Amino acid sequence: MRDFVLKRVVALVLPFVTMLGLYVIFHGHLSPGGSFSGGIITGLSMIAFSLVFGLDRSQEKISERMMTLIESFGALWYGAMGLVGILRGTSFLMNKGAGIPLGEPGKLYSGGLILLITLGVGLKVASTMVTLFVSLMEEEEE
Amino acid sequence: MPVVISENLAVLIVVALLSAGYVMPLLKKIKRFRVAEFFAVFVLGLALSGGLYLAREVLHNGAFTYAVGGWSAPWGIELAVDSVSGLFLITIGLVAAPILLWASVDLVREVGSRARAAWYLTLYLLLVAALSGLAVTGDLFNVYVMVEVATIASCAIVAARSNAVSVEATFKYLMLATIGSGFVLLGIGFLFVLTGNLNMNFIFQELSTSWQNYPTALWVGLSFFMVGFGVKSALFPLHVWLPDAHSSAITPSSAMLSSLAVKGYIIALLKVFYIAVGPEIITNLPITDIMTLLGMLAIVAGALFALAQDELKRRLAFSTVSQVGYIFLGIGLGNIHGLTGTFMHIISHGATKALLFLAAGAIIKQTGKTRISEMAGVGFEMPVTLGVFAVGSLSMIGIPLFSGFVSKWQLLLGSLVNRNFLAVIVLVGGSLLAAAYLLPVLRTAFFERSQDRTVKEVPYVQLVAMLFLAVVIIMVGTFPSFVLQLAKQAAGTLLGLEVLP
Repeated sequence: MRDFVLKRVVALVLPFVTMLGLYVIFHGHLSPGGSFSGGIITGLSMIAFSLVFGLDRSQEKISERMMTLIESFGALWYGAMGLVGILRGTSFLMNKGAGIPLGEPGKLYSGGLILLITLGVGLKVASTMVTLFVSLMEEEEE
Repeated sequence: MPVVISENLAVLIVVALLSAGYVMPLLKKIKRFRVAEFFAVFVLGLALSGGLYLAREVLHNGAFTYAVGGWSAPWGIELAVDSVSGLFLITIGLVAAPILLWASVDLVREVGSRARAAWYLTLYLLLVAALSGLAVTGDLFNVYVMVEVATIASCAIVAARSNAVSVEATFKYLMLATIGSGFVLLGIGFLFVLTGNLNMNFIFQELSTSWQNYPTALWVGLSFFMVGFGVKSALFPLHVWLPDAHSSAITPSSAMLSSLAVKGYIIALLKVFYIAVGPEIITNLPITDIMTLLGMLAIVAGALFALAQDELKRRLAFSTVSQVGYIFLGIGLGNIHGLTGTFMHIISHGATKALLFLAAGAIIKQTGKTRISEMAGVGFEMPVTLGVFAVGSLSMIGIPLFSGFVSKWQLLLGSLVNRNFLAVIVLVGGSLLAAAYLLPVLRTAFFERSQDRTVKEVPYVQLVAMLFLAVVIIMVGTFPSFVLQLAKQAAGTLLGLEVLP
C-alpha cells in the first residue's frame, strides 16, 4: 500500500492505540477490560502497522523469534506467579494469603499479584494475535 | 518428597506440563533437537511419578480437595483428587511418555521442520496437561476450559502433517468437536441455572434435595452432556470423525488420540454424571439404558466396520470405536463391577491401543506398506515389532494374563449381576470379532513368505518404547492388584459406596 494519507493517519493514531491497549491491561483490576481485551488492542496496533507498512518492516521492528519469546514468556510468567503462593507455603495462585501487600484500593497498585499476572497474560494475548496474523499472511504468499 | 511439593502435587502436575509446553518453542534453535524431545519425555515421566504418588496417597488415605488460590469451594476453583483422578493420571503417564519417546526418533522429518516439531511438542504437552486437568478438577467450568484446550490441541496434532487428507480430516474433526463443546457448555449452563453452582459437590447437594421440582430441565441438560461428550469420545452413531482423523494423522498423534484423548472426555462425563448429579438420579433416569444400548451397538458395529478395512491404521481406528463401546457399556451397567470394568478398560485400552498404533506406525515406516494384504512376511523381518503387536492383539481380544482380560472379566461380572444376558453375548461376541480383525494381521505377517528381505527393525529407542507398553499390558494382566484396587475404589467413589482397600 502506497497511500500517503493512510500511512500518516496510521502513524499518528497507532501510538495512542498501543497506549490504550496497555492502559486497559494495567487497569484490568480497576475498570472494565483486562489482560485479554487489552492484549487484543495492543496486538491489533501491531497488525495495523504491518497491514499498512508491510510485513517486512514490521518484522524489522519485532522479529518472529522475539514474538515466540514474548509468547512463551507470557505463559511461563503466569505459571511463575502461581508458584509464588506455593513457595510461600500456601496454595497455588494465592495472593493476599501468601503475604503479598495488596496496596491501596482504587490506586494502580491495588491487587497484589493480579497486576503482574494480567501483564503476562496481556503480552501473551498480544503476541498470539500477531503470530496468528503473520502465519495467515505467510500462507497467502506461498 | 518435600511437603511443599506433595501438598500441591495435583496442581503442580498440570502447571509443570503447561510450562514445559511453552518452553518447547524456545528450544527450536538449540543444536541437538533430541534434547528438547527427551526433556519433554522427562517431564511426562515426572507427571507419571506424581500420578503414582497421588494414586497411592488416595488409595491409603482417601480423597482430598485442593483450593486454588486459597478460595474455598463455592467461590474458588476446587480440585478434587480421588481414585478416579489417580487412575487416569497413571494412565496418562504410562501411555503419553512412551508415545513421545517413540515419536522422538523422527518427529522432525514427519512434521516437516524443526519449528513445526517444537510446536508439535507444545501441543502434545498442552493436550496431556488438559487431560490431567480433567482428571483432577472438581469444577464444571474448569472442565469446560480443559475440554476446549484438549479439543484444540488434538485437532492441531491431527493437522501436524500438512497434506490434503489430514487437513480434511482435521476440518471434519474440528467442526464436530466444536459442536460437541457447544453441547457441553449448554449442559453446564443448565446445571448452573438449576443449582446456582459450578462446583460438583455443591451441585450434588443442591440437586439431591430439589431435582424432582424440574426433572425435565435436568433431563435436557444431561442429554446435552451425553451428546457433547458422546461426539468427543466417539460413541457409536457419533463417531464419524474418528476413523479419518485417527488414520490420517501421524502415528504418535493417532496413538495419543485413540488411547488417551477419547478417554479424557469419558472421565469428564463420569464426573458430571456420577459426582455432580449423583448415582441415584442417574439410575432413575433412562440415561443408563441408553448408554448400555449404544455401548452394545458400538461394540458390534465398530468391530464389523474394522473387519471391512484393509488399511491397518483405519482398522485400528474403527477398533477404537468398538472399544469405546465397552467403556460406555460399563457405565451403562451402573453397578460396581461394570464401573470397575470401565476404569480397567480405560487403562487397559489406553496402553493396548497405543502399542498397536505404534507397532503399526513402525511397520508402515519401515516397509512403506499401509495395507494388511501387502504385509506378507513382515514378521520375519521385524520380529520384535510384530511380537509386541501380538501382545497388543491378545490383550485387545481379552486373553487371560493380558490386561484386556481383567477389564472384560469385570464387565462380564457386571452384566451377569444385572442379569443382562444380551450384554454377555455382545461382550463375548465382541471379543471374537476383535480376534477376527486383529489375528489376520499376524497371520499375514508370520505365515506368509515375502519377496524382499531388505526391511530392517526400527531403531532401539522405538523398540524400548513399544516394549515398555507391552510390559505394562502384561504387568496389569498378571499382577492387577494395585490398579484393580484403585479401579474398584474409583467405582465405589462414583456410586457412593465404601470400598475397603
